[in-house]
Amino acid sequence: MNSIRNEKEKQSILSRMRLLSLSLRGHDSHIEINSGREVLIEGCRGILEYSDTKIQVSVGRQSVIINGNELTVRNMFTHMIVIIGHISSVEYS
Amino acid sequence: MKNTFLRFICGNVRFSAQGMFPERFINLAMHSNASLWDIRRDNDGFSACVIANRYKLLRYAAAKTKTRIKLVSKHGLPFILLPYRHRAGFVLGFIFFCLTIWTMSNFIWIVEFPETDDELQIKLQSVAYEAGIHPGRLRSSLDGEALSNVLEANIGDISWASVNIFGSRLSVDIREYESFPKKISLNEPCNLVAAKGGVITDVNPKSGFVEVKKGDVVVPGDLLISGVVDDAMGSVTLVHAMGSITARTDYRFTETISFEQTEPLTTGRIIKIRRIIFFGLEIPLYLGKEPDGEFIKTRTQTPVKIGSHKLPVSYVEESWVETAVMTHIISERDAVSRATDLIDKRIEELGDIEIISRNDKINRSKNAVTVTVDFSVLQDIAKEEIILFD
Repeated sequence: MNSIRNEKEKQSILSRMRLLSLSLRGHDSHIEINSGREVLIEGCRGILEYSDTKIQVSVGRQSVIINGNELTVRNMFTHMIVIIGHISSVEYS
Repeated sequence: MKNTFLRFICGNVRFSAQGMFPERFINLAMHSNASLWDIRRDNDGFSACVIANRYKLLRYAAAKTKTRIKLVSKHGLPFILLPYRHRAGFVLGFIFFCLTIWTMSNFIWIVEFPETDDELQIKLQSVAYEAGIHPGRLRSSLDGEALSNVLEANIGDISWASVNIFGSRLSVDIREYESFPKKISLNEPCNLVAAKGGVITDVNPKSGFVEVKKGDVVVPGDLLISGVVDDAMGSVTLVHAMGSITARTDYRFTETISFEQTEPLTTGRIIKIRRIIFFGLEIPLYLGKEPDGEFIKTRTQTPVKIGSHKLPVSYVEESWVETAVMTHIISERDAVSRATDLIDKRIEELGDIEIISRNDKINRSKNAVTVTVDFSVLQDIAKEEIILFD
């Protein structure tokens, strides 16, 4: 019983390490949300749609949609974007 | 905060963009390393900020997406200085200011000396000046370690000297010799002998063998407490003799004061001389030569300060009080008073004593008065002496 549990834990740790490794190499996206007022997206490939209420950002194979009000791009660098405003939802599509 | 400051220094512009594909324009701008910030959506376009010299990078994105970009506002230091670019005087003044600050920072402005007694202070400042420690010296020409060695070698009363340069301030630090009375270690055997002759009035031994008793008469050098102790078994032990031996001792002090006294007296003439010291250079604020004659000089130096920081500029005011050597006759009373004061001063120098009797005698002659004071005191006459083995 114990050996099965240890095996599961090991797989979980390895899986997390793989995700972290992908994120660090820029193959994956990393999103941080601060108090529903600021979203930081690393691994951003470009803006697909931009309006006051909706910003859609490409993150490789997927895209991230930020819905809210008074949305503004505060900073934009290569592979990183910071969006501020009243954020109501963040979703992948 | 750091970003805001850098953006201010580099200069930044806000532009508005109008076109069919704003998202594509932003993506192309991002890929051409023109970092944008504060991107605000308008009705038919958007506005954003970019570092001033990266604005031209946006032309490619604008052409590619058929977007019209227009400058809205300019901010930052380059745009503040722009109107002055044709003002040669302003530019030259700014360059001159920077050069002056840079040049001045290469020189020593202030020299700080530690607080010591007047005699050592004068010697220290004189030796330091001869060694080249003074305001106005080029910082790079001074070697702190070498100067410390020069001070240590030329000032006899110090055990250690240090010369430190902090920017345009030079600080001199010294340690004076501390003279301790030569004492015999408690582990070393010794005797107590009489430092002065007298009649023993009290014996208070702490260790050792007592050789005297109350009422004995001793002369200087007599053994009072021996460090060689014989025990009942006949063996000898060497100890560090300790204790106090109080004795009644007699003194006679004599002072002669002449009625005719020659001393410098002020004539009442006072001359004020003012100077300005700039980087060690004294600039006189008076015309003519320094007055001839005998004067007592008092010098007051006031450094110019900004807050608590001293500048290499000082205002000096010297007060020259004229004196003349004059001979005058003092009264007998004054002569006796002066002689008694001198004797009292000598008695004070004897240290911890208790005067039990005093007899003052005054002898008058034609030209002088002689005061003789005979007095008896109670004092500790014991002093340590090493036991010598032949």
